[in-house]
Amino acid sequence: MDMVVSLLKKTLAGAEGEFLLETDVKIACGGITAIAGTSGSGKTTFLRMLAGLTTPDEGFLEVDGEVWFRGERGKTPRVNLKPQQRKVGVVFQGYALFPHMSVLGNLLYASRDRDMAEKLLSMIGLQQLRHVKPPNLSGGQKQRVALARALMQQPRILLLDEPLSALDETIKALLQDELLKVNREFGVTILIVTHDSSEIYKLCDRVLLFEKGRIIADTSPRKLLVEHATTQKFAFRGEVLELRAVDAVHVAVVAIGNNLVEVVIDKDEKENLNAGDSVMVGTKAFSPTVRKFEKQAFDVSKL
Amino acid sequence: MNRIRATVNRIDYNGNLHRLVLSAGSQSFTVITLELGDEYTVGALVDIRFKPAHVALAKNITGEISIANRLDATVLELHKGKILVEMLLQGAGGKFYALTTTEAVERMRIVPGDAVVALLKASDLYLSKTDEA
Repeated sequence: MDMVVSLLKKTLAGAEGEFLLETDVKIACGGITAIAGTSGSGKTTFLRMLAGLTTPDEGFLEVDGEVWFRGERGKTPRVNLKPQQRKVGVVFQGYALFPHMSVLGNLLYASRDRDMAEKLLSMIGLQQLRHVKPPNLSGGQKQRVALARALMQQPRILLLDEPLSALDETIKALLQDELLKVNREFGVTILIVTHDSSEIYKLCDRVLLFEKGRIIADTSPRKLLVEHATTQKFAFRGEVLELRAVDAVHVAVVAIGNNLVEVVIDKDEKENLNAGDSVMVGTKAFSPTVRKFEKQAFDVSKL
Repeated sequence: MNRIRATVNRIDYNGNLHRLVLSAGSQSFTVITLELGDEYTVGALVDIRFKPAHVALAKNITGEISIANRLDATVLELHKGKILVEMLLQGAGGKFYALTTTEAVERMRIVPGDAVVALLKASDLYLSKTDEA
């Protein structure tokens, strides 16, 4: 069943002039859909139009069989539900919690449902912090409270705009697990704006790739993210830092994220490369080894 | 990176594990790989690619060996380092490089013009799409 049927249009002002945001998309009930794309491509505006925070110029929006928006360009919309009439939960990167209210108070402000608040506190691991006020919470804890609060009114869709991008990797992974749990237990349909490919892969069953207001790809994370130019499965984007000749071979030093790797390359490969080039480093899925990472060990990524 | 243009003759699979049989000229190749894109179909023209370091060389080979790919080849050039030798070889499917130890080349007395057998494990080969039709 389609949860969201969106046919919304809005003219946006971009860095290179005006462009039309056009979203002709249907989203099935219960899944997690990633909204990806460069900044300024209309991702956030799309979420805001779904939430009722931004009014489209024209179009149609139906959620769970109910029309939320219907309007023609230049006219007052015939239907345009207010944000509070729409069954959506919203979590943005900023936490937007009431600083003078406790965690529990913030939840109960959204809805007086005490049973629901208790259920969410235990599910998202916040029982111990129920009486703490937001200024005394860490970034990850604040974002958990924001998530719990967004769920208090039992929304049919949850709109998340880069909710985890400011958090460190460990906390991010924990919150990703919690999002999966929320998706499963509440059956809530989730749309998440994210740039993080591992997040897309781990959480989402579908990716909508935005570019200049249009959805240029609508596909599975696997199809979008797994290297396709070759049959290599172990492939990463990197940047060449240095090329060296050693004995009868050449060595390329490549930065992949925070890690440096050395790759033995041959003459042909070396002749096509320069320091500073963007490259794909790859090997077959048969070649890499997998070892458990000792948490105590020095972790370069924490630098 | 070695590149030999070949035609896909056969694809077998079990779950997402695939075995492809390909041919380049009179040379047959077997490639084992995980998931395969839709464009790799029987009859497709693709590039078989492999690192020179994944090529083992044999001379006067007898007996059984499990390695799926055996390429009869002629040694064209040797570029010797102290520890490693890069070798250019001519096979039935095209030219390719092999990287082996200087010690092995000296022990086997490999010189340009020699006939050798290049051995390539099916799981060390990978495929890429060619741009030419």
